Amino acid sequence: MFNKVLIANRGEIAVRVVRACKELGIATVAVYSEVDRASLHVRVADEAYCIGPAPSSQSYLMAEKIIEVARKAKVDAIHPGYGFLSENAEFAELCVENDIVFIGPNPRAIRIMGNKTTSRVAVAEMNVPLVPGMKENLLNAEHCLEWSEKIGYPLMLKAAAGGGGKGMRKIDSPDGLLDAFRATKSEAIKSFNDDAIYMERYVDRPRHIEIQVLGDKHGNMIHVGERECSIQRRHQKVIEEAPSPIVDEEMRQRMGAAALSAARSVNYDSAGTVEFIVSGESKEFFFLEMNTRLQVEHPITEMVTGIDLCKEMIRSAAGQELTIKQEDVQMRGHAIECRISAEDPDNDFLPTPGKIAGLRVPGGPGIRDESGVYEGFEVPIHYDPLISKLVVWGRDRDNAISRCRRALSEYIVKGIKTTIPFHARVMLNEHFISGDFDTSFIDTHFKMEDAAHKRPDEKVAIIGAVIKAFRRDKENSQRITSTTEGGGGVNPWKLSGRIRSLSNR
Amino acid sequence: MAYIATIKDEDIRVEIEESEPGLYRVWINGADCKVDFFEARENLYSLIFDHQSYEVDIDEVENGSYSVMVKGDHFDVLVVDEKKKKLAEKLGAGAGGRQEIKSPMAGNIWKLLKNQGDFVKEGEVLIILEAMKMENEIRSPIDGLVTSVSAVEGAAVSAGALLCLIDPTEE
Repeated sequence: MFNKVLIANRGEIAVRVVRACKELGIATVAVYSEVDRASLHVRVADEAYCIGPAPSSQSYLMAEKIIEVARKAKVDAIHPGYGFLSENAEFAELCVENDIVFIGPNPRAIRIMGNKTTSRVAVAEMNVPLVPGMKENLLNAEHCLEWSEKIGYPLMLKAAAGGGGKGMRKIDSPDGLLDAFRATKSEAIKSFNDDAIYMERYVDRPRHIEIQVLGDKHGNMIHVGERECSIQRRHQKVIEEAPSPIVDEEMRQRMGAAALSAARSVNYDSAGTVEFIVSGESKEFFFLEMNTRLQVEHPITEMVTGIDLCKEMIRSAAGQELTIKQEDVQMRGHAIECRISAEDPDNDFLPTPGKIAGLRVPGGPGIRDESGVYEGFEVPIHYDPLISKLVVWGRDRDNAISRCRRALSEYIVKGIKTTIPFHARVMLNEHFISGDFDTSFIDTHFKMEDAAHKRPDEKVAIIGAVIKAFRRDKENSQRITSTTEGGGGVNPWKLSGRIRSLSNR
Repeated sequence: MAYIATIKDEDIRVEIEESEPGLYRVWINGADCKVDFFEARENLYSLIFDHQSYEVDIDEVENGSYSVMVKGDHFDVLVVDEKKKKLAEKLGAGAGGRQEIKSPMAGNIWKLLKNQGDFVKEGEVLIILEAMKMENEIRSPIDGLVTSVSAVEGAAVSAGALLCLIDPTEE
C-alpha cells in the first residue's frame, strides 16, 4: 500500500479523497492555488503546497508543476479527483515516467474513452449497443445529406471531441440540416479545437443512466449497479439517484454486462463509469461514453452497496486485488444526491461567489454531507460553483425523498444564495416523485409547475422581516432619545426643532 | 405602525404593534396574527404563531433589505416604513430614469460589447461577465444612450460595482 498520496484537486472531492486515504492509513498532500489558501482541503491534508495563481490553467492544470511537488514531497501516487487532470492521458503517462502511480486507469484507456469516435469503435467491437449512427466523422455537406437519409429524423449532430453537453444539436427536419452542420462544426472547433463531428439517431424521452464499474490490475472487474442521472440543467447533472426508478434486476444485469464489455475493450483497471442513454419509452439502452475517473455522484452507489469506491480505487492502483466479488454486490434501499452550488435558483442560476456567513448542516438518520466549505469561507470566483453534495439514504425511494426534503429544510447557508431551494422544489414535484421524467425534466416538467408554485412560508418570511424592521426602528428611536437625554452636546430643543422641520417637508 | 413589504415585485401592507416584549400583533392580508418572536442567536429567530413553530434566519443585507430563510426556502424581502415610502414616491415621481448598471455578482469583465456613446435597445447585451466558469450576460433594461462606462475588460469587479450608465433616449 502507498505511504503518501498527492491529491491534484480542490474542493469537496479533494476532501473526500483525503478522508479515504486517512482511513487507509496513508499520508496526504494537498496542492492549492493562491486564492485557495483558506480552502478546506488544505486544512484537512497532512501537507500542503501552493502551486500557482488562481486561474486553473496556471495551477491545478499545471501537470509539470504538480509532478514537481509530488517528487519533492516524495509521494507514491497521485489521485486526480474529477475534472482538471483526471482524464488527461499525457498526465497519467507523465506520472508513470516519474515513477509515481496515477490513481486511475491505464493511459491508453483514458485516451480511447476520451474521444467519442474512438470509444464507439472500441466498444462496438465488444458488441455494446450504440445509438444507431456513424462510426466515422462527417466529411462534408453531401456526406451529411447521405447519412441523414440512412438515420432519419429527428437526428443529432455531435462533436467528436465533445462532452459536458457542449457541441451537440438536435435536428428535426431536412430544412435546417446544412446550417446546423456548419454551426456544429464551428462550435466544435471553438470549444474543443477539433472540428470533427458525426451524426446519430435522436433517442425519444431520453434518460441518462450509468453503470459504475470497478477493476483491478489482475484482470478482475465488477459492476456495482446503476445511477439515474436524468435530472440535468443545461446538460449538467444536478440530482442523481440509485437505483433508477425504471431499471429492474433483469435490466440491471444486462446493462451491467454491457458496461463490463465496454470497460474490457480498453482493459480497464480502476473505478470508472459507463454512461448509457436509455429510451424512456422502449427502455432500449445505448452506450454514450465512459468516464475514466471517480464521478461526482459516486457516493450514492456507496450508500446503496456499502462499498467505498474511493478506497477500492486506491487499493487497486496500489496493485491489490478487488475485495468484492460480483455475486457479493447487492443494492439495498435508495440513495439521492443533491448538488448544492453557489448559484441563485430564483435568478436563472447566476453564480453567487462570496463569503459563507453562516452554515448549518443537516444531521440525523441517513444523511451524508460531502462538503468542501465551512462557515466563514469565501467561495472563490475562479472555479466550479459546487460547494457540497447532500447525500441521503432511505429504505426505499419514497423514504429517501421525504428524508431528502427534511434534510434540505435543515440545510442553511447564509451570506450567499445556493441551489438548496431548487432541490426542495424538485423533491415536491409530482413528476419527480412518480419517477416519470427524462433529461428535459427541468425545461418541460419543472419550470411551469415551479412558476405556479405558491411558496407556503412566504407569509412567515414577511412577518419575520417586518418584526425585525420594527425592532430595529424602535431601538434606533430609543437610541436617539437616550443620547439626547445624556446631553452629549446636543441641545434637545434644537434637535426637536430639526425633526419637526424635516417632517413638515 | 405600518410597513410595506415587497417580495417578488409585490407590495404587501403589514401593520404591527408590540403587545409586550417579544409578543407582536401583526395584520397582514386581512389576517390578524399574534406572533411570539424569540432571538435564538444573532440573525436566527424562533417564531411561534397559531401554535406553529418556525425557525427563521433573517439577515439585513442592506438598509431595509432582508434575506430570509424558512425551512430551506429563500426569500428576499424589502421592508419600508409606509410613511417614508409614500414620501419617497412623491419625491421620485417625475425624476429622470438614468439607469445605473451594477454587477450582479463578483467576477471578471470578459467582454465590453458597448462603449460610451453607443445607443442600446432594451434587452441588448452590454457586458459579458465571467464567474465560476460561466459567462453571464448583462443586458440593458431600457432603450438609451451609454453615457459612461467604468468597467474595464479583463478587470475583476465585486458584486454591486457600477459598470456603466445609460440615459433613456431614442436614437
